Amino acid sequence: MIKRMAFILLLIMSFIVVTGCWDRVELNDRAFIIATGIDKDQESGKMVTTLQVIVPEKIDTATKKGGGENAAVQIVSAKGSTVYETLQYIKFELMKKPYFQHNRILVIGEQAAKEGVTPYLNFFMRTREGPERSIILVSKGNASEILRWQSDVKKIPADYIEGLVHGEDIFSMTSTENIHEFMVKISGNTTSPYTSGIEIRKNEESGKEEAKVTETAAFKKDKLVGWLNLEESKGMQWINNEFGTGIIETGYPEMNNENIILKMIKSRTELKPKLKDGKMIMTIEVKGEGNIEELKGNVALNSQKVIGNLEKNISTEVKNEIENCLKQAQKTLKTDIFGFGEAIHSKYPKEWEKIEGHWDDYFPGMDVEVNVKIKIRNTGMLIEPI
Amino acid sequence: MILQKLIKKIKFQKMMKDKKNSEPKDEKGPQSISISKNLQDNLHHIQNILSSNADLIIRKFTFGKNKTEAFIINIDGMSAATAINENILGALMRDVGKSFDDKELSIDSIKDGALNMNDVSKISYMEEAIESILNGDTVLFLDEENMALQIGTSAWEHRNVEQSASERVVRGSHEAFTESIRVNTSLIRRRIKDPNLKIEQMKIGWRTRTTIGIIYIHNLANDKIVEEVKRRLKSIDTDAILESGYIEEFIEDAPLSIFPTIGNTEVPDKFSAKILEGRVGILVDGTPTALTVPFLFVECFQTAEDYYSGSFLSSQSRLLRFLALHVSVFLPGIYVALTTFHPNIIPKPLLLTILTTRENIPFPALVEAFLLMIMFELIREAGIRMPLAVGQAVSIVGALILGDVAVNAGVVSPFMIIVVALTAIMGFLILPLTDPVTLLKFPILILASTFGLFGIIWSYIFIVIHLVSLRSFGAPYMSPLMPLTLKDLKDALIRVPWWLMKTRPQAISWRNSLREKEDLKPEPPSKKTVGDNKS
Repeated sequence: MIKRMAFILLLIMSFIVVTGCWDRVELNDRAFIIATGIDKDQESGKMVTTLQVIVPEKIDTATKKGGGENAAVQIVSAKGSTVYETLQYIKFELMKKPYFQHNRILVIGEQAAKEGVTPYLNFFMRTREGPERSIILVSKGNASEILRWQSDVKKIPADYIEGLVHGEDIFSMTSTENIHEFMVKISGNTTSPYTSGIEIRKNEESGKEEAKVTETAAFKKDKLVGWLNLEESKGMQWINNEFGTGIIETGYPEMNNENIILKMIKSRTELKPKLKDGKMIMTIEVKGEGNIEELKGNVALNSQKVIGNLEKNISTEVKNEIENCLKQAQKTLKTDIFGFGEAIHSKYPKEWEKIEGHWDDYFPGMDVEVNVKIKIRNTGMLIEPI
Repeated sequence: MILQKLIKKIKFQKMMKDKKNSEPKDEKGPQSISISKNLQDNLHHIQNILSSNADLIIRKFTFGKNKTEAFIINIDGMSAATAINENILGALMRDVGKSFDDKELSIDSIKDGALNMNDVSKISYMEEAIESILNGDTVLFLDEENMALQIGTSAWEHRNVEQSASERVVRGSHEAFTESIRVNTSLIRRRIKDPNLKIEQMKIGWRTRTTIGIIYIHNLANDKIVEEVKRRLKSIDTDAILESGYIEEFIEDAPLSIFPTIGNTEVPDKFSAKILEGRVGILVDGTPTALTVPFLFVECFQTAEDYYSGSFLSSQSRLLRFLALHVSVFLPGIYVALTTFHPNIIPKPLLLTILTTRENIPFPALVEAFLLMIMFELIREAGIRMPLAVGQAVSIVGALILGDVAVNAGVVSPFMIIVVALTAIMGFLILPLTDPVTLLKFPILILASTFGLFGIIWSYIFIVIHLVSLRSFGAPYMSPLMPLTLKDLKDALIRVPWWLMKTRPQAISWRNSLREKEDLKPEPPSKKTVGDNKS
């Protein structure tokens, strides 16, 4: 009995003594980082890390009212040769342990992105408390500008930017990727990542500075090679099967090109590579259904013919968007952001082996066929024009 | 040095133990002495044994034509005075002379023909006489007889049948057991009018001679369990049993476990229900709390009212109680583990709220939790011990004012108050498990704050392993969950309607397990008859 008790006692002691609580940090001792920015300093050639850290005292809650007009974040930045080094300086400044798992956005400055992002992302992927799920954005100009920008709406500016990006997602204007998805694409062979670009613009009317998501940054491997404008971004979303329940805006030619708004309820894109005379042809098949939300023109949607015309018109519009985007990606940027390579690889693994080596040269010259079939499901509560 | 002292101490203790074993036991009262034919001898003897007792009444008298000498002896306050006056003294002194010839006068003829009392028996040993006297009975000694008559006159003041303080119900019987075992057995008999209901009795305790009742239904309860209960009760060799808690600790299966393996109840309807499921009940004289064995873990979640009100709501309440058990044991631990080890799995908006409330708290989360939990235990203890009128003031000052001020002063965070208060309330939901819940909270909190969620998961596994290893009088403690008995799940975490409750719990007893007929589901009369009625 005594032996057994001693054994149990020893076991409990060893639990406490041997393991200990090495990663126990009180909430008060953690600095919760909500946004991170990475820039390249042109003069010194070093990198600059900027962090947006939550300041709990300034957040409104039921128990603490007020807190002033200021944002509830603190901006800290440091210069160094690696991310880790800059974080050491920042730790000094904050007197708290930086905690990245609640980080929501990672903004990379345009200059840093052009030179390749892999060296910066390495730390975030490697660290145990990493922000893999935070979204990557590329800023036009310096990332620190984005982080220092303050929102009128939200106490935490990063919340606003996150909402902005997700909002853009809902309306299918640009697409964003998180760090994990981004790194998967970079470490793959063919497909290159893309993500939303963000910039601070001055509003002409109010004179205030506003954060805007406008274009899509297209990468080749880990280097930024160019931008897709809104139109082309839409095309890219169609090709990548990311359009989802987005909005199509088009005109109706017989009616002075008045605007029609079609909200998709479902859409689906398939990439079907075909081998024809030893050449790869990519077929993009788009199918979708949508509801008419608004129709400015004086059109009565009461016959199959009118609806058919409308559907044909919309499909052409989408086809144009897709082709514009393809042109930009294939001819100008020469980067496979669509995953064509992956599609060929999975369908024609043997042929792929031959192409794989010179895919970068092969991709721009590929023939692409686009088939779009969009249907109108519902025309809303009105049939006759008002 | 310390080691040497320790060894010395152990040796000393061993010595004491050996000494104890060799010592003779305390005397168990007078040795067997026969009642003598000499009345005076008997009187002296009893006066000797029961000397210096102010409440002892000895009434000497003569009766019959021959003026036969006799005396009766009883204890004032424990016996019915009217019965003694009318049916013993009255019968002997007034009536015997009229109807008896003196030749016929003997102890047998008096027993059979003179005493109009229902419980009369002959005794021939002095110790029997003493025991009956102490029990409130009256003993009649006659001259020239080496036997005495024990006449059941025991009647003493006891509490009426009242509502139970601890097990209140809205619907259902409001009666509760009292301190008198006779009243309690009558409460059960009134509910189960089955000749197979057996009430066996024994006495435990050399000094208290407490009456213990073993109650079961002959062809429902497992004979082995009944035998085992008797064996364990018989092996109790102590001087006093004042409450059923004594018995509970003497016959428990796992005396070192903090989980109860013996059920207790204060209400006769719940007790009867358990007997009807094939359990064995133990009543102890002097306490309204009765015991039932075997006791299963799922019984902790059952209340009497579950069976009286609708099955859907009862099932939901049971699931809630199950959830409450987990919350009350693990919530403080989980809160501390999440905030100190894994803030990543707290959703951001919630984290921000916690952050703002915790910002200027001077203590680490563990210390904060400990402070509040101990504070709560103190308030609770004070609330129970204080007289009723003061108790309320204590809980108001303690819970309301202290809690509010502690938050405002920035000593503890409002979140921690929520956590501890929730934990405390949930702990009261499952009455039988109050002990383990209160005890487990603290070690789990420490584990959580040293190992995080890892510690919580390990403590959970450890608790489950312990529970699974327990047995209560042969029944697996965790059944019907583990081992899984599908049939019994009908009355474990949920309760099915009565017309589906076809069998008794299999873990308790396999005998006569069917308790109702098939197809008892109430249904409207067939369509045809409905049509007929309409026309």
